[in-house]
Amino acid sequence: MANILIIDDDLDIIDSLKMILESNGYQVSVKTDTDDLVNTIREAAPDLIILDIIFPEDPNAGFTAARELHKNEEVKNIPVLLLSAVNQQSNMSFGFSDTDISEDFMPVKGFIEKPVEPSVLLSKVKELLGNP
Amino acid sequence: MVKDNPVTRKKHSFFYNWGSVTTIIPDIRNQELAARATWFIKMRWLAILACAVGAVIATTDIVPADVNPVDFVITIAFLSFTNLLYSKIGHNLFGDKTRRRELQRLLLWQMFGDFTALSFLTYSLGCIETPMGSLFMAHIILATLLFSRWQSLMIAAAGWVYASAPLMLELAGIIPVQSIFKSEFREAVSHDFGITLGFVLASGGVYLFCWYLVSEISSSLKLRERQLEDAHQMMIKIDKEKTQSTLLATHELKAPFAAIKSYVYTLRDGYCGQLPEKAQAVVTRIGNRCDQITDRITDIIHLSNLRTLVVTEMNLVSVNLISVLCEEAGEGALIGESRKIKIINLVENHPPVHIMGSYEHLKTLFSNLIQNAINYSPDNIGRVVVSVETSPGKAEVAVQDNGIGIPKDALDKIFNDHFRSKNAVAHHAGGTGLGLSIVKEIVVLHGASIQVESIVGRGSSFTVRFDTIEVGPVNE
Repeated sequence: MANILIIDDDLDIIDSLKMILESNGYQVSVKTDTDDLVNTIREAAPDLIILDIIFPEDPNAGFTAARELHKNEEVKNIPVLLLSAVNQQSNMSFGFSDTDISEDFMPVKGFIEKPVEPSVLLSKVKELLGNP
Repeated sequence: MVKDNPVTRKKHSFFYNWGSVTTIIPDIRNQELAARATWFIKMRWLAILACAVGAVIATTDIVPADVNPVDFVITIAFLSFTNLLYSKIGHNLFGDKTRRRELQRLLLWQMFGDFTALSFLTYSLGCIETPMGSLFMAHIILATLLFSRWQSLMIAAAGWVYASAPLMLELAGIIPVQSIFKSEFREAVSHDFGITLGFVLASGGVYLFCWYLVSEISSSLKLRERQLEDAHQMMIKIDKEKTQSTLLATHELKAPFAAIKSYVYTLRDGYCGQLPEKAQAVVTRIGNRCDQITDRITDIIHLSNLRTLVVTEMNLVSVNLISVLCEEAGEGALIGESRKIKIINLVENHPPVHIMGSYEHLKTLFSNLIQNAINYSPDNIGRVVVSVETSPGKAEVAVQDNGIGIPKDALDKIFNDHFRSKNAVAHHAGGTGLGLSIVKEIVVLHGASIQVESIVGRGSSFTVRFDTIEVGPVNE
């Protein structure tokens, strides 16, 4: 079964996502920061990365990490799914959505809002793993 | 009926990016330099025209003076050649705001070229008897505005040297004495060291006085300009910090509820084992309460954000109201589906209507109005009509419902923070009471107005009036 790497600083979010994904047969590995990300990904060899945006040390850490991964030939083909509590539905002028995905700004395959409905998460994961 | 006073605020433009603020601060000084360099070139063509008129007059007996038209022709040729050269150099520079030094160098070349031409004309028309020397003053004044204080002093000194050179060379006998009035007096003056020196020093004193006077005013203006620029930079910095802290505050407040809600989902969907029916109901209620708190947090932060706009996060662009309305009507249809409330979109086939606005804020405005209409409409028979009417330069967007209506005594309070009428609370308990406050702020920020008409038990109609613009770049 596919291996999914969750990168999020919120252990409760990790825990709940893990429960949903593992119950559906996925292998889940976790990381709570974006340090030394490329090496971690090399070792974990995930099929999909679920990446939070805001980390305590840097509110843009998720974006920075996504851009870093996108530039690295070894890992750039692993699909990245962004996850955040602040998004377009928050009605803020800085909100974003799937439409903001771009090579420079948001080089990822998809975006989902926290908290994510299990059915939405599973369908997005299946879609990105190529078995919708 | 309550009518909000239409208030027009100054519209700003600010480019926004997640985590980074991109600002375009025009380099006013460079623009001014480029504008002056262009102005100089235009003025020089006028001076060339004046010289041509002078040359024509010199060939006639209209003015009882001895002027050589050839001198004017030489000046015209010199100024025309240099002016064409400046135009060509300037053409490559004016588009580039960063090349301040090159712009200053071009201006300096122009000034010294003009000094040469003026010096020649001063000599040709007579160093003392014509006011040619005063024409140097225009360049000295401009130099104080466009160059540093010491640079402008050097330019003023150079102007003085150029203006005095013919007289001094005449005195030294290097060049013959020229005068438009043939008289012995002029010869006598030009060969008198004391008078010549006195004239040269006096004109130098006048130049220095003018330079001092204008440079003092200019220094004060430059200081103000720097203060304004500092203040502008500070406002941008504050705005950026405010956005960052709003973003973090939103995240910090929403993230815990997102985590709780995630657990609620896992409980609800049986990922932690099957729950008894009563526990399932409690979990659902916990989830709903989480959603309400999250909505409230979002509304409070959004409202405070709208009210504290400094440079503003509003990126005002040409927005097609029709696409915003269609998008929000579509969203509304999805929301209303579960309660069988119908959204009637009458704007679907309407031609584009453009206004200057913030796409995101306009989406919030109509999303709030449509969601309110849905929230306060009856299940199964509720219908919300979205329509637009246009007249030259104006557009009226109306969101009408057949809901519970607003009591007459509550109409003037519905835009107040946290206000909810009794019948509203009874019909829909979960509202934050901030939706219409947000609507009002966005209306005001767009220089629009809002009008409410309502009959209890029959429904309400919210009409927002905008000034439209001619079709420009569209943000759809």
